[in-house]
Amino acid sequence: MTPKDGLSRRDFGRAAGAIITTGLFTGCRPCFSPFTPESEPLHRRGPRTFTVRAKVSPSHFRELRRLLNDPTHNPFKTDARGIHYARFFTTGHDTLYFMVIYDEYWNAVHFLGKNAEGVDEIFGHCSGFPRGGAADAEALDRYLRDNFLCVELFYRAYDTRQSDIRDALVLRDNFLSFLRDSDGGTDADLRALYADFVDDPHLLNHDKSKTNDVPAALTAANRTFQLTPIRSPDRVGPFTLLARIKDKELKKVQRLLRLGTFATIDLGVRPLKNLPTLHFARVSVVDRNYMLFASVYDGDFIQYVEDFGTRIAKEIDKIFGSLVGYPMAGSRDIIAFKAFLRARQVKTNAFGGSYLDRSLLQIKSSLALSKALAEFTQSVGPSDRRLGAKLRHFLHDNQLLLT
Amino acid sequence: MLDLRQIQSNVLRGYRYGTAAKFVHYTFVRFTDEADARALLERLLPQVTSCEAYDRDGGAQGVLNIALAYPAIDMFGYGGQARALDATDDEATAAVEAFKCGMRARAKAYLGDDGSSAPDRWEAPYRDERLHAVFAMNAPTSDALQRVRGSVDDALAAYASVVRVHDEAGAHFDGEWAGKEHFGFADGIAQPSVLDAGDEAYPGDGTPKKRRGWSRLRSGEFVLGQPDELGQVQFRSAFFKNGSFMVFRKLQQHVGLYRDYVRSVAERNDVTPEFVGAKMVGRWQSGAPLMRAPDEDDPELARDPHKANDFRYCDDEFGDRCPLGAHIRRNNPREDPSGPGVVQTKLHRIIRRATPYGPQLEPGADDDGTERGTLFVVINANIARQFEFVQRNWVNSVLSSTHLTFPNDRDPLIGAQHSGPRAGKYLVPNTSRNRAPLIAWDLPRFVTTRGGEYFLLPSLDTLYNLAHDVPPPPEQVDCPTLDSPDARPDARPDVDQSVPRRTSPAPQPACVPDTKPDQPSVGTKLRAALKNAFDDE
Ligand code: HEM
Repeated sequence: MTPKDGLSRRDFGRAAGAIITTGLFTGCRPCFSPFTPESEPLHRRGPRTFTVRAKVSPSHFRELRRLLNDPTHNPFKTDARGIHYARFFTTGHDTLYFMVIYDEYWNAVHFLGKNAEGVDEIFGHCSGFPRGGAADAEALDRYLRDNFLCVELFYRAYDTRQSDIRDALVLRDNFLSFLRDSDGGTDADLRALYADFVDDPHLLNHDKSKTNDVPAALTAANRTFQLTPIRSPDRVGPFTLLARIKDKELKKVQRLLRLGTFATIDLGVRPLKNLPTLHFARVSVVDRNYMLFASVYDGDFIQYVEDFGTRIAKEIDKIFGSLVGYPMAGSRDIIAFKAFLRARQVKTNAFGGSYLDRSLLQIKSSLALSKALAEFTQSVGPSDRRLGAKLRHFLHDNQLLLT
Repeated sequence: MLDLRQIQSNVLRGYRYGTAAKFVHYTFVRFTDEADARALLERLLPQVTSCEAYDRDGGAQGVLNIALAYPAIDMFGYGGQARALDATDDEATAAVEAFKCGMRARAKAYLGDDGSSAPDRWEAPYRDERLHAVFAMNAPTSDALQRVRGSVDDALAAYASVVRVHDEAGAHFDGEWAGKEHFGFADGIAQPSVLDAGDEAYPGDGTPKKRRGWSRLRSGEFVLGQPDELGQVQFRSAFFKNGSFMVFRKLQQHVGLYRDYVRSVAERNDVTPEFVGAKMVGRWQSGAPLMRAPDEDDPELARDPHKANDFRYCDDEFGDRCPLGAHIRRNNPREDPSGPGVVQTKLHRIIRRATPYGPQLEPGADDDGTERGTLFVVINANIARQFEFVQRNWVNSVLSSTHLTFPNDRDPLIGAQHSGPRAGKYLVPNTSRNRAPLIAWDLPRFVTTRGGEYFLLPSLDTLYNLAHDVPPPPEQVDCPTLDSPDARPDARPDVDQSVPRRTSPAPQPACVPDTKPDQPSVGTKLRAALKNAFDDE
C-alpha cells in the first residue's frame, strides 16, 4: 500500500518518526493542535481551523436557538477575506460552538470584528463574552483563546489560500468562455480572443513565478465577499456528529487522530483523499469522552455516506470504530452506518462558505488548470506561429481538468 | 424462487429489448366512492396479469396491471400500512415518504424538474389533483390491446363514481425503427437481471463480479418483502409483500432540437452527427456499446444479446471510449474507476420500461411541432434510493465521480440543463494529441417533463384483499398502534384475520428536503439525534 492510498501503518510510522526526529513539539502545544496562533508560520500554509466552545448564559439558550434557527438570519454581512467556511451550532442546553476554517488566524479575528453586529447578537448570549463585543480585537482574541477547543484531527483536501482558490475558479470559467467563443472560428479570431484571455488578471495573479503587478482590485479575490447561507441541497454543506467514545479507546483514538493531522498538514499526505466530496474534516474530543466530528462536503448526504462506506471504509472504521454504537461490520454496512450517523448527528444552525456552489473537484481541477495555464501562457503568446496547434496539445493534455 | 403467481407481470416480465410489448396504454383514474372502487377492482381482478400468467403466452393475449397511488391506499384504509416497520430506519422511512408525497411534491427538489419541466407547467391531469390509480395495459398487437382496453372501459363505465381522468397511449415503431426511441437509439437493452425471477440473464445485466462474470441483483431491489442488496427485507408486511413501486413519467423529447444541435456540433468538429449522438448516449443507434465498438456502429454486435451488454468501464478510466458523462455511464457506472464503486452502484439500479408516444419524426424532416416523447416507467423497490437517487445524483449532478468536475454539466441527453452562466457542456475526450477534445457547448434541454406519479403495483393477494375489503394478516413486527380487529366473513381462507387493517395514520411525510442537507428528514429524528448524542447507550 502506498501512502496515497490511505492512512497506512507506514504513514503512521513515518509520521511518528518525523515527530521524534524533527522535534516539532517545540513550543507550547498542549493538544498537538498545529493551530495555535503563535506557531502558525512554522507550518505549511493553507487553511487552518479553530473551534470555540462557549457557555451560553443561563436562560439565554432559547433565544439563542431561535436566532440561529431563523433562516433569514445571516450573522455574516461583509467581506470574508481569508475565510473558507464557518458554522454555528449548539449542543445540550448550554453550549454554543463556532467553527471556522481560515487562512490566517487574524483573518478570522478580523472577520468576526467586521461582522460585530451579527456576531455580538449571537455571542452576546454567552457568558464571558467581552463587553465591547467583537469589535474589540484584543479582547476578542483573548476570549477566543480562552475558549478554544483542541482540534485533534484536521483534514483538508487542499492547502491553498482562499484568494488563490477564488482566482482559480474564475480563471477556469474565463478559460472556458474563451474556448467556447473561439470554437469553430478563424485563426485571426483565435489570436484576438487569446490576446484578451492572457490579459486576464486572474491569470497573472496566479503566475507565481513573477511578481504580480495587476491592480489587486481587478481580481475576484479582492472583491467584497459574503459568507452566503445555504441555498440548495445539492451543493456544499456541513455535517456535524457528536458521539461517545468507548472508555478504553480514548487514548488510542486520540493518538490516531493526531497522527492523521500531522500526516495531512506536515507531510501533505491525504488519508481521506479518496473521498471526492470531502473538503474538510475536523475532530475534537469534548466533555472528556465525546467525539465531535465536523465536516464540509459536497452534495447529497446519502451519496456522501455511501462514499464513506465504499471509498474510505478503512480509515473511517479506524476513527469511528472507537465510538459507542458503531456498527459491528463498520461503514461497509451502509444501512447501519447511515443510521448510526443520523442518530448522532447535530444540527448545524448556521453555515456559510466562500464557495458553497463549487464542488471540491471543481476547486481542485481549477487550481491545477490555473497552474498549467500560467506555464502555457508564459511560453505561448498571441502571436505564436503555431498557436492553434499548441493550444490543441494543451487541451488534449489537460482535458480531464475541463471535464 | 419468487412467487410468480403473486407478482404483477409489469414488475419482472417483458421489459427487455425485443420482448417489450408493441402497444401500451395507461388509463388514469380517481376514485370518489370507496365501495365502487373496490367493486371495480373486484371486477377487473381476474384479468390482472401475474408473471406466471404472462409466462404462459408471453403476454400475447394482452396484459392488464393495476397500480395504486398513495391517496387511493389511504382511501381504502391502508394508509397506515404505508410506513416503515421501524420508524428509526431511515432507508425505509425515505422510501415510504417518497411514495406518500407523490412525484409532483418531490419533482423540484429531488428530480430536477424546474423551468419548462416545473410541476406547475405539467399537463393538468398530473398537476392539479393527485391521481388514484392507473390501469396499465399492453399487448403485442393492437387487436389484443383493444380487447383488454374494452374490458377496462366497460368496467369503468359501470361505475360512474370512478372518474376517468386521463389516458396515455404509446407504441413502438415499425421496421428499421423497431425498438428505438425518438432520438433514434435502440432502447431497453441494459436492464437489471433479478435473482430467482425465472427468466434468462445475459452478461452485463447484473452486478459485475470481481474479475469476470455478472451476478443477478437480489430480488428485494425490485420486489417488496424480499431480501435486497443490503441484506434487508423491507416492506415485509403482507400488504406490500410481492408488490413493487412503479414510477410513471411522461417525458417529452424535442427531436428537432436534438438533431439540429447534434448536427451543428458535428459540423464544427468535423465528425458525423451519429458520432456525437453515440458519444452522448454511450451506444450507437443500433445499440452497440461504445465500450465494445469504439470507432463505428456495429449492428451485428447489437443484435447479440450475449454481447450487446457485456462490458464494464474498468479499462476506460478517462472516458476515451465512452465519455465519462455519457447517459448510460452515468446511469449505471458499472465498475467505473472514476465513479462510485460496485457496492454503491448496485444499490441504485432500476428496471426501465420506455414506450414512445407521438409520431416518429422522419429522419431529415423539420420539426413539425407535434408533441412526442417517451412514456417512461421505472420499477424499483425503493423510490428514494433507486429512481430518485439516480435522477438527483447521477443525471442532474456529478458528485460521485472523481473526474467529472462541473456540477452544471449534467446528463447530456436527459439532464435538466440550464442556460446562461449555468449552462452545461459535454466533453468528449480525444486520444489523438493533434486534436483537441470535442466540447459540445450550451447543451439545450432535449427532454422536458410533462407529468408523472408514483404508484404501487400491489401483489395479486393484496389486490384481492382490497377488492374484498379483507384485513391483511399480522405483520412480523409488532406495532403498538393497531385498533381493534374487524374481520370480514368473506375473507380468503388462507389469510389470517386476527389483526386489523386500519392503523393509525403515519406522520406527515417531508416532501421537500430541508434546505440544509445535514438535517434529518423527519422531525422526530432530529429530537432522537440530539437526545442520542447525550444519552449513554
Ligand atoms: C426520454 C428520455 C430518455 C431517453 C431518450 C433515454 C435513452 C436511453 C438509451 C438510448 C439508452 C441505451 C440503451 C440501453 O442501454 O437500454 C438508455 C439507457 C439507460 N437509461 Fe435512459 N433514456 C431516457 C431517460 C432516462 C431516465 C429519466 C433515466 C433514469 C432516471 C434513464 C436511465 C437509464 C439507464 C439506467 C440506462 C441503462 C444504463 C446501463 O445499464 O448501461 N433514462 N437510455
